[in-house]
Amino acid sequence: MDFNIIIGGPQGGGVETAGMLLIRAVASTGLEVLGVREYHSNIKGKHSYFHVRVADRAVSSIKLPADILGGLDPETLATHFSEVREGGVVVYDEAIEGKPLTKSPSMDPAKVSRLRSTLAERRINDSIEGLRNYLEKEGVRVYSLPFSKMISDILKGTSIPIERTMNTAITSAILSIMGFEKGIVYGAIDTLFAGKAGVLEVNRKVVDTVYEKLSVEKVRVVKKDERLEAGGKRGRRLLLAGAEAVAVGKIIGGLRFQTYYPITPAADESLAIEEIARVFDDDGKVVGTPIIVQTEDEISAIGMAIGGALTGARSATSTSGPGFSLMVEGFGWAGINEVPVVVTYYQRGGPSTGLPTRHSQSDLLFSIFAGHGEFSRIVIASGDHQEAMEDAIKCFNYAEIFQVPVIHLLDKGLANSVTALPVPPLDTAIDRGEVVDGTEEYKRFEFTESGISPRAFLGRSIQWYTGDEHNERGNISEDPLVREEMYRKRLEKRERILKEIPDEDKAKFYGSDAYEDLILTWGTTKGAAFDALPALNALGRNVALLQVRLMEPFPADYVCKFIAKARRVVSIEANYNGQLAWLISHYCRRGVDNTVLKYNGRSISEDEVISAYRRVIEGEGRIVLTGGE
Amino acid sequence: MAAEWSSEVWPDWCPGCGNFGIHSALKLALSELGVDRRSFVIVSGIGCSGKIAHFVRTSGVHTLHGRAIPFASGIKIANPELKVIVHGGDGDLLGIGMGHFIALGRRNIDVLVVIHNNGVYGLTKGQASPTLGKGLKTKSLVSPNIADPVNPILLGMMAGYTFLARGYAYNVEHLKSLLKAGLNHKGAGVIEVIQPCPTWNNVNTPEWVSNNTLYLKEWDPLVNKKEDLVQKMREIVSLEYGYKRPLGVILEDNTKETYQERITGLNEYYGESPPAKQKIESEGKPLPINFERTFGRYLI
Amino acid sequence: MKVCKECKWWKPDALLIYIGECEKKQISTRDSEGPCEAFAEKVESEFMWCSDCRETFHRSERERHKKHVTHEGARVDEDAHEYILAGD
Repeated sequence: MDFNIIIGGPQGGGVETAGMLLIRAVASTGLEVLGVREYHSNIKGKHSYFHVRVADRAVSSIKLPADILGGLDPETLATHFSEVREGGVVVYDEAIEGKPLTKSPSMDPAKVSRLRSTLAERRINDSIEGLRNYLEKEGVRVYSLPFSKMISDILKGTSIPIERTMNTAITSAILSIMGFEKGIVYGAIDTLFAGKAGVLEVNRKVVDTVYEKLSVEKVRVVKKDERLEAGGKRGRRLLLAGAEAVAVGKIIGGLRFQTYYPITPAADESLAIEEIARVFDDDGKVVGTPIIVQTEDEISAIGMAIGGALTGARSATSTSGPGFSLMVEGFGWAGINEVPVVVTYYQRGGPSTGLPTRHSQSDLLFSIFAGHGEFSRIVIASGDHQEAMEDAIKCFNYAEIFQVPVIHLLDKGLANSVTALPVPPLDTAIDRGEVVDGTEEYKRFEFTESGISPRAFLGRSIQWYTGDEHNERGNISEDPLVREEMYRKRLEKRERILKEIPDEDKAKFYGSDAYEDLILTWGTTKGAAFDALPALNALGRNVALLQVRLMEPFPADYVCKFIAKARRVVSIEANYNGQLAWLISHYCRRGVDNTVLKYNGRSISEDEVISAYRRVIEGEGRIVLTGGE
Repeated sequence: MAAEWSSEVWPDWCPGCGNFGIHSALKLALSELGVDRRSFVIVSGIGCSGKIAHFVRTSGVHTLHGRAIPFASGIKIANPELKVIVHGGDGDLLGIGMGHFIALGRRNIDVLVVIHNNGVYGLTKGQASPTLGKGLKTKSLVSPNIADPVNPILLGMMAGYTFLARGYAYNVEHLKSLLKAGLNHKGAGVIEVIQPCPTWNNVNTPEWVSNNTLYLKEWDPLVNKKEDLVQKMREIVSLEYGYKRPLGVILEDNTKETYQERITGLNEYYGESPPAKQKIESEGKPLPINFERTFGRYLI
Repeated sequence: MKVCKECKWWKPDALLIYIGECEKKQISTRDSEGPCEAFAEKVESEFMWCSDCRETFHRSERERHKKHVTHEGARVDEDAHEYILAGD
């Protein structure tokens, strides 16, 4: 069972609630769900949508074509109509029937002109009705239902505004079409509108009315004899967005000081930590509280986080591309002073302001090389929500064990998408490295056998730090011998890091050892490649997948062995230059055979991987994906 | 004794540099206050003044140009038990670091900021700094300065600093008393120290200082009631626009909560256990967290 | 036609423009509902909302929206802050 639903509307108009209602409702039955949110850099009015995939096995990507499209406005239908499969369903409020398709002021002019051509080509009249006729001819079932009429009848006599219920109406329609029973929707509504008695009540009435109407119309996506199987008992799970998963992971991992400057999509994480606020034990006692500071700019954010780390608190800052660009100088200071600070870096469309709310994987090389001069750092890229949560803890561990600044590299696709995860077992190790109290003669940067100096927190003994080159005590030194030794000390850590970090944190391999083709990827693109793997193997060749996680120091010894065994290496990533492919060519001295790239600001979907692979088989060397709205 | 407070590092300032005066005053102040050298932290910026962090026998964090205040803020918020002082130049704190200078005032974090005001960027050969008067041409400038100077006392006042003072690097006894008062004050403080720079600045010399400054005698800097603050601010504006630059404690406002108090007001656990002091693991594993109570909002 | 969208008491929803709120009766209605006994002619104010252009405009630009559906203001959801995502 594998459903793809797109529900869209103007931002600030209820799409967010509609999507969350849908996700919550299906997740509560035990099914697997992934909801990807696409929206504009805008507060109200521009088009946004949720692409929700519901399945009985875990899914890590979205897939097209969609089975159901629900639209709150004409722009949604105009934008997504060609993404619905034959036999699929389109649902909307009949009140928009007379509206034109090409006259939404919020629609991008480029999209409007493409739409005009499409409508002309396919001879579709510029109206919802015209679209409806066309879709029905193409075998799509279109249902325009009197949602606003039903709702205004229910709301008569109350002062509750319609938008508080419109999303419930559309969502109920979708859930009913999918074959879910009413009670599931009630459950989701009760949670989402908890504490708002009046609103809750009318929403329940809306659900009743919609379900009644649809049972009369007998609309179903599944055939009459198909049964929707609920996922069965899966135990308690966490339903959350990627940024929230990282917040949870950090708190479990001991984060107690976080700084941030508001930036999309990172701000959600700090907000989540602030809302969680306290860590409780089984007796209800507070056993910890992370302190969050919203700084005046990103330069202050990295400075404060470093200050916090020096005192021994596990400290982090959370940001995106434009923010990290400002933090680079501070990051270098952490490098030369061997400070265990974590930067949680959510990539988004660049360069410059770029696409603040869109997906991209274009900062890999930047995060590896940022900062003038040379120093050791760790960069870890997570591939899904589960990894992001666990890696949040590991990043702190590695920062403190090796005393280097760490970048936890994520992306917008992960930050904003919602999924259900099993409750994590609290057994990941917390390793603070070598911590000492220090004496009168304490030297913070002492040369040792291991290459790591024992660390005393500020306050436990006198110590010095400086951005200048320094001696073991931390005082400025320009002496050529001291310089050479201290520089080497910092850079030799890379060897130690590579030796001690376990293979599973370096890269993950999926598939059969007898592979011929190897797909190489990283970050959330892994999800689409992983989901597509069975279909790829059905095309004739033995295909396996390698997801690289540790990016710096680059685990060449481990990764290149996989590359060497492959007849063909295909890299898939969401950027223009093929940044991971570049790293592989450099470290493994073997170029990647085919590169599949995407840089239009939309996530790579499962079906795109499959169609790209077909083109790989036909011999295309560089394939650019252009799907998504 | 002040000598105990010298570190082993050779202070490499120019002969006659005002920094020696500030350095001496700081060591005397720390000695007389009986500060615990392990829990005292000097956070400094970049420039000649920034090096002071290495010359005192206590912890020193020599940060980036203009950025001492964020580092100091992070240290103090994460561990309020540490006593934190910021030393930076006028170019560092009032030019590139101006944003952070203002932000500290808004937060009223318990940190004392000492501005080594010599009117120039000393370590890079003497360019005009934000406090150099317009039309002045020091020996290091090609042409006279064409930008107006800022007044750190008035800026600090408007930003929310609760302790304001001005001193002179070569009057060590007086400066020492300002430092002691500043370190004892609870909240964000600024001490602007007029610091002659014999190498680059031949305008703001000791002679200029004796003609253009005056020691405050009957001035009352105290504000103990909220409603008295605005009137005091008006008086300070008049004072600062007087004929000579006043030296002494100019404001001591005890009516505002420190940043730590504000956080504690919202989160009492912070007061009991700040970030640096919280236990975060139990036998190498995460604390026994109750999921329902802590992360209940996400559970389904 | 004495329908809601021509009435002075009615404000369209800023986003779902075919729905709106009647200030007089304190209820939500569709734009084509009516006729209604409380109907009153629209008045002009300094800032107006244009449903066709979906923007707020100043009276100095009145000419541009002469043929459009305009109202004194648009109705927005007060609780929108709870679910709107960060945009930059």
